[in-house]
Amino acid sequence: MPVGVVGVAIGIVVAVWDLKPDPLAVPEPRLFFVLDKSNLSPGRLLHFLTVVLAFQSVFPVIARLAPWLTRPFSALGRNSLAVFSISSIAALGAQLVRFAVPHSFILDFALISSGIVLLVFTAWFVEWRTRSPTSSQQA
Amino acid sequence: MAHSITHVLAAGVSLLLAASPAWAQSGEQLSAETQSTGRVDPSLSAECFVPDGKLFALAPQEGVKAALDEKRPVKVLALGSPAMSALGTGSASYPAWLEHELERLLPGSDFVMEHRATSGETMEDASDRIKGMVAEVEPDLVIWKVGTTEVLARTDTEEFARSLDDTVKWLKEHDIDVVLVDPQYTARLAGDPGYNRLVASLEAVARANAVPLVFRSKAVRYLTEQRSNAGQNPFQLNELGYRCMAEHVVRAVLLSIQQPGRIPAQGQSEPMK
Repeated sequence: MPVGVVGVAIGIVVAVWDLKPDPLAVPEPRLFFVLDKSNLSPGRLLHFLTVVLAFQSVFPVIARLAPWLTRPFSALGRNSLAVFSISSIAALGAQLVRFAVPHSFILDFALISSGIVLLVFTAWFVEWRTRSPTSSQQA
Repeated sequence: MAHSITHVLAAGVSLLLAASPAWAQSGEQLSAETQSTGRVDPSLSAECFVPDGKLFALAPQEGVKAALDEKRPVKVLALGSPAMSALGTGSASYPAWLEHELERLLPGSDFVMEHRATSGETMEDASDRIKGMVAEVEPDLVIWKVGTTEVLARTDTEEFARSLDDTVKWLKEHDIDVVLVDPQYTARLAGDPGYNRLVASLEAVARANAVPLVFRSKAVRYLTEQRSNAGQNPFQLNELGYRCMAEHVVRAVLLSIQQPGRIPAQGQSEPMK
């Protein structure tokens, strides 16, 4: 866990103070040293692994204190493809709403909240269908 | 300003469907046609002709000029929507058309075109990705269509201007020429204050950094108004907008190459103040 926490802290510092290296100033091979989202450079892979290390220690505590939070979000992860598909469509719809309506904090809060509810419902629905008697019989 | 859902969907769909260009005119046809019109600007086709004041603001392009003087290939990175590189039946894509026209109008030159999509990202998110693309391609010139995503997402104009300014400065620090193209125009956005603020902020950034800017919004508005009484199909107008954008970009590059020195020059169009 200490390694994970240090890695997460370094990631926060790099993100907040924008300490990412200049892609044209690093040595070749350049893509090895950059930190943009297009490529899984060693830096990004290391950061991801430290996030996993930090989170695996923290998750049991959160699950014990707030199971109402961890259960639905774990479901999102288990059904990531369906959740991602619905989220892409929902994001487009939310953009059109924000384009139509004068935007405010309340609007953004409502859109994000309803989006999360929709995704949790999607994950629940996929698992419900898997568990339903009809699915069991077909299997 | 509130918009009905109908207007929103129409504006949104027209913006999204604008990413479907089809090129039909060859360079040879353009040359003969424009010569026959007797217009001052021979590189623009008759249907894409726009008065200079509504077309672009010019600035020197030292990197491209140096590459041409050294007689080496000029690498161009075209940034825009993914559909701009789509091939149509019997038509050339936007990047291929740009390359063809630049080489036709600058005999002996060799332009190598790379197109990269900035799909749906706002300026703040796209900035890092663009720097990565530039590091990969190492272009002499970046032709960058900006603002359409921000219009749809209702991005804060100041944040957009700040991110754009940072990225343009970064490109110039690395001696990479830039040509900016402002966002897609539709009739429903003509009076939208957010759209107009964003276009104005884009002009301010281009002016401050002395980079050429193609006034795509004003040009398409002009072309649309010229045709408004003919009941034009909006999809045809979108296609015309893309076709003419390539012509206008080529013209902006050619005229900017001829601008002297590093001081922003007073071009044929609106001066860079």
